[in-house]
Order: sequence, then structure tokens, then C-alpha cells
Amino acid sequence: MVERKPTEGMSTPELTAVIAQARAGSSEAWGELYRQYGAAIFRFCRRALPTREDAEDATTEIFVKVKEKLSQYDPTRPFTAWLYKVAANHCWDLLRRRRIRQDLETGDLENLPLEHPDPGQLEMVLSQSTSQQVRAALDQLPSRARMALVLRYYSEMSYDEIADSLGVRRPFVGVLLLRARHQLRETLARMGGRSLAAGM
Amino acid sequence: MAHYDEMTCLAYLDGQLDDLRAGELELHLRSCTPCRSLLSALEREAGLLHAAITEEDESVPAHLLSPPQPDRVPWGWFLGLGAASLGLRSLFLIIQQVWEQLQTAGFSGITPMAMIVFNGAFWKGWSDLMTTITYLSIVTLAFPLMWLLRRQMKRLKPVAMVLAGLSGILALPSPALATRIEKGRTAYTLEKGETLQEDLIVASGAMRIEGTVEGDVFAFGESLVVTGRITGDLIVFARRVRIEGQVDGNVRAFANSADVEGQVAKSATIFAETFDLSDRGAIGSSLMLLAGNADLSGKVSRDLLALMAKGRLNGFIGRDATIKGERISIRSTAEIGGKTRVTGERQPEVEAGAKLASPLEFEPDRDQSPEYTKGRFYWRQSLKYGAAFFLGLILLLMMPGFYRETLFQSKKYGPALGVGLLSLVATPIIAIIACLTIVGIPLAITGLMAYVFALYTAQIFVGSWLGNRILGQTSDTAGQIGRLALGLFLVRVVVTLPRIDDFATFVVLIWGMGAFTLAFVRSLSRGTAAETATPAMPSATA
Repeated sequence: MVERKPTEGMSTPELTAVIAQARAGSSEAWGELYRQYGAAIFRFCRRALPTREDAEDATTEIFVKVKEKLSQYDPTRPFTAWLYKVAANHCWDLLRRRRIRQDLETGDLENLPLEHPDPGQLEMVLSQSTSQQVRAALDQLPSRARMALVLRYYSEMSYDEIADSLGVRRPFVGVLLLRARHQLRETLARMGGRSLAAGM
Repeated sequence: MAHYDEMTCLAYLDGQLDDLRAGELELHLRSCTPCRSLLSALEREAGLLHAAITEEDESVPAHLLSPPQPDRVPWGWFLGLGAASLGLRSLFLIIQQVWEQLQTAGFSGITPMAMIVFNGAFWKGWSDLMTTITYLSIVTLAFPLMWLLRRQMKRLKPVAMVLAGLSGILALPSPALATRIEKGRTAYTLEKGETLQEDLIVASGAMRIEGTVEGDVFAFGESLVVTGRITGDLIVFARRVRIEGQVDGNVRAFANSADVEGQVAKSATIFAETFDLSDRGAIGSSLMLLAGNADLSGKVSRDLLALMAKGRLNGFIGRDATIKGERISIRSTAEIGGKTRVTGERQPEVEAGAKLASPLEFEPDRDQSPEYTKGRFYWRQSLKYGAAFFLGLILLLMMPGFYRETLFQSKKYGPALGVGLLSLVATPIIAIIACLTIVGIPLAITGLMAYVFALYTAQIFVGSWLGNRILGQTSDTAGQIGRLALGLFLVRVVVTLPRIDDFATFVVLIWGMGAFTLAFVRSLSRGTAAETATPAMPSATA
């Protein structure tokens, strides 16, 4: 997997040293780690969870967990991957505990259109959509679909990592992502229609 | 020409196809325009998604800019304990009041539980009833308020504050018209000849009341000496308390050492390491005492209810003396007008001259240490273990979400213990008050049933926490059952160990109960937050 972005300001050897110090109990190093990743984790939570308050709470809770679990982190693997995994597990656990409507794993394949979608139509929806609209549409997706997209396009997780975080089988991740995209397109198209109607 | 499906194209774009299939697809793309345009549209979509998701459109809240402080001031603890102590005070007031009324009505020797149950029926007079109605309206208002605030009540702080406020209201039966607040000084003295025509709240090192307070006195500090007069009640938390003057109301004292040499017109409730009611001291009504070492040489006009390790009775008790203690001696100068009942490990010493209206009733305290050598003990423990495990299993399988949430809350032992202590004290009080209205009775019964249920299930959640602590966390149900079995076993062992059994049981009760309450409150607020935040979507794709 690719090394994720938010390491700006700190080189890999620096990061390794800071992590080692934080593991040894240095609160200064811990503060440094937090300053480095706090904002990224908050934004991750903001995308994954329904409200801003949820994201604020979750960010704090995730870092408390990270601090507790830092000794379990394998330094040979990318730190961000591990960090996002902890964050993803926490958020998903939170959503699951709220028993938010979950997509059923079975039967999804039948619902997916196997024929080619019309690339022209897709391009048209895309060209009419702004980032803001995409985010608004994302907020309306069922939690698992949204979570899958966030894990893929924010944390840049591989299908294996997504499967692990969401507790689904590896082959199902593709279904989940594709289905999420379809739902997103539908919502975007509806939103576009609404705004057109409103503009008339 | 056959085309590749969308999912394969997506997996290819995401770099999740194996080399062989990726190679085949690339070969196909060279000659297939529709697949190429699909791939390009999907790529564009991925780009848009990536940009939309990663765009920093919102600022990070200021409080998240610095790392969370694990050593923050445990407000949950403070508020929980504060509310619990306020709740305790009101509970004592209720018990004391009912006790006195029952005494007047000719009921004697009833249990504190019966007092609480009959509290409503014996509420004295209209003015108190009006006050009760005021509480009720406040409590009734507090519930919708809590309901409205439910989405904000995700953290412990507001819950504790609301409950603390509620208990505070309950604990202040007569609203003070005016209050003098004195705090922050090393010493406070109300000089002789001085008169305060209001309530006095004083927090200071050495406190002296030499003058007159026409109202209640609440004192918190190192020491308090009353040589003057207090026309209302005296509530004091201090290391040393000495009453040489006169208190026209009740006295509630929590102290290391407490001495009464003066007059208390109404009743006294004393929690102290040593308590001395000197021969000049007098209590106009009953004395409720919890002390390590007590010397009662003065006069108690009505009943004495005492729990003390070592006690000497030299003085006068107007009515019954009910004592539980280890070493009790009744001296020749003692005079008891009613029944004298003593429960303890050894027979109290009664000197020849002591005047007891009826013969001493002594009941040896049953052997506190469990019979470890008898098979019956282990059989009984196994039954208890089995019952708790069975209930735990039902909870785990039928309400996995709630079980997990409670387990999660029990990890935060500070808040859980604080809230547990609060619920332990506040729930029965609120239930009793609710009982006073017809509408409130079913509510109170439901509440009390939930209370008993929470008390019983406390061991399950603490056990489960312990199991998880030892064997590590798991989300697997079978693993969770194993952890429950192990943890419950350990809890059972700890609560039957000699010496620490009572303390361990208490800790398990408040801890588990706190976790239960927190989980309940959180599941309420989360449930509603989730409902409002995620509107249902039309199912599946077109």
C-alpha cells in the first residue's frame, strides 16, 4: 500500500524517532504525533460519522486508544496505515453500536447492474457536480457505503484493509464500493434535478 | 464484442486486479472504445471523490488542536460524589423526619426501609406537601429538559450536572430567602453579640460561631465550634466539631471528632470517628449515630440508633436504644426509657446501677466469616455464579449492542464509579418522590425494577470487563462468553473473600451500575442522533 500523505513537516526517520519516543512514554513526542495527525484524523472522522460532534468525540477517543495501543504498533509497517486502521475500527464500531441501517451482504450482487453503464451519462453527472455536492451526497449514503468510500478515497486503504476494517469478505469490498458509487451517482443526479427545478 | 463489467474496471483502477487479469484488460482496452471511455469516466469519478473527500472545507475545532489530556480534572467524579453526598443528606432528612413522625404516631422499631416506603403517607402537613409538589414540578420539568438536551448529553459532564442539580434541588427542602456566604478565609468567627438574620454558608479553616444565626448553617472546614446559637439546622463537614451552644434545629455532622456539650433542640445525625455527648449535652429528639468510638453521657430525649465499634452509655435515653456494635458498655449512671436492643459479637457489659425500662435484648451477630469449610457454601456460591452467568449469557445474546456499550462504559471506571454512586443514592429518592403522585407510581415502580436489575447485572459487566482485561478484547461472541465466565468467577471469588467482601461488593455494585446507567443514557442519545442524522435511502441501485 502507498504511504499516505499527512506526514508533511516530518521525514520518515524523524517520524520513526518520534514514535519510538512516544512509545517510551515521552509526552512531548506524543504531543508532536498528535499535532501531526490530529487534524487528519478529525477530518477522517468528519467524513465517516454523521455529525461534527461525533467527529470531535471520536477524534479524542481515537487518540486515547492510539496512546494505549502504541506498544502494539509494528514499526516496520507504515504508521499512517496503522493509525487509520485504529480510526476506522473505532468509527465503524461506533456506527455499528448505533445499529444504523446496514446493507445486507447477501443479495447485493443481484442488485448490481452487470451491463455497461453509459459513460456519457456518467460524465455528464460528474461535470455538473461540485466537490461540495459530492460531500452533501456522501452524507446521505448509508453508513457502510460512506465508510467504504472514505476508507478508499481518504485513507487510501487497499481492499484487504477495507475488508478487515469493516469485517466483510474481501470479494465483497468491490461490490460495496461499486454500490456506494451507484448510490452516490443517483443522489447527485437527484440533487442536480432539484437544483435545476429550483432554478426554473 | 464482450465488455468488461464495471466492477472489474473499478478494481483495475484501484490497483486491486492481479497481474494476469490486469494484462488481459489492458489488451482489451486497446481495441475497445466503450471500455476505454468507461474507464476514463470511472477515473474521473474517483478523482472527484478523492478531491471532495480530502478537501479541507472545515476548520479543526480549537480544543482538538492540542492532545487530549488524560489527567484532566475528573469532573464526573467530583460532580458524582457531590451529588451523591447531597442525595445522602436529603435521604437522611427524609428518614429522620419520618422516623420522628412515626415515633409520634406510636410506631416504633420499624425498619428504615419501611420508613422510606411509608414516607409519602406520613408527610407532615400541607407546607411540606407544597414543597414536595414544587420538587415534583421541577423533577417533571427536568425530564423534558434532559430529553431536549439528549443530543448534547453525549459526555458525562452534562449528565452529571443535570443530576447534580436535581439532587441539589432535592437536598434543599426549604428554599433560603437570604444567604450569607463566607469562604476563602483561614478563620471565620461570628462574634459574640452579633446576629445574622439569614442562612450562613461558611467554608474556612477554623470556624467559630459565638453569636446568633437566625437560619441554617452549612459549614465546611477544618474545625467548627458553636458557642452561640443557631435557630435553624446545622450541617457541617469538618475534622473537629464542637457544639457548646444551642442549635434549635437538627444537626448533621460529618467529622473526625464531634462533641456535643450544648443543646440540640431537634435530632442529630452524626458520622464521626469519635463522638462525645457530654453530661451537659442534650439532644431534644433522636440521635442517629455512626461512630468508631462513642461516649454518651448526656441526654437523648427520644431514640438512639447507633452503629459503633466501641460505645459507652452513661446518660439518659428517653425511648428505645437500638445499637449495633462490638464493645458496648452500659454504665451504672445510664437510664433507658424504652427497649434496649444490642446486636454485636459480644454481650454488652451492664453495670449494676443502670436503669433499663425493659430487660436488655441481645442478639449475637451471626458469624461474619463465611463457612469456607462447608460444602454448602460452595454449592450456594456455584448457584449464584450460575444464575449470574445465565443472565449474562441472555444479555450478551439478546442485547449484544447494549452489552457491548455497557462493557465499553465500564472501562471508564472513574465516571462509572461516580455515576454509579449517584444512581445508587438518587434513584430510590426520586422513586419515593415520584410515588407521591398517582401518575408517578408506575414510573417509580418501573424505575425501581430497573434499579434492582441494574444492581444485579453490575457483577456481570464488571466480570466481563475483568475477563476482557485478562484475556484481551474480542468482538467474537464465543470469546466474549469465555471472558464473562472467567470474569464472573473472579468477581464471585473476590466478593466472598473475608475482610474485603463488603467493600468489594460495594465497588462492584456502583461500578457496574454506573456503567449500566452511562450505557443507557448514551444509547438513548445515540439512537436519536443516528435516526435524525441518517435519513433512510431508497434501497439499492437502479
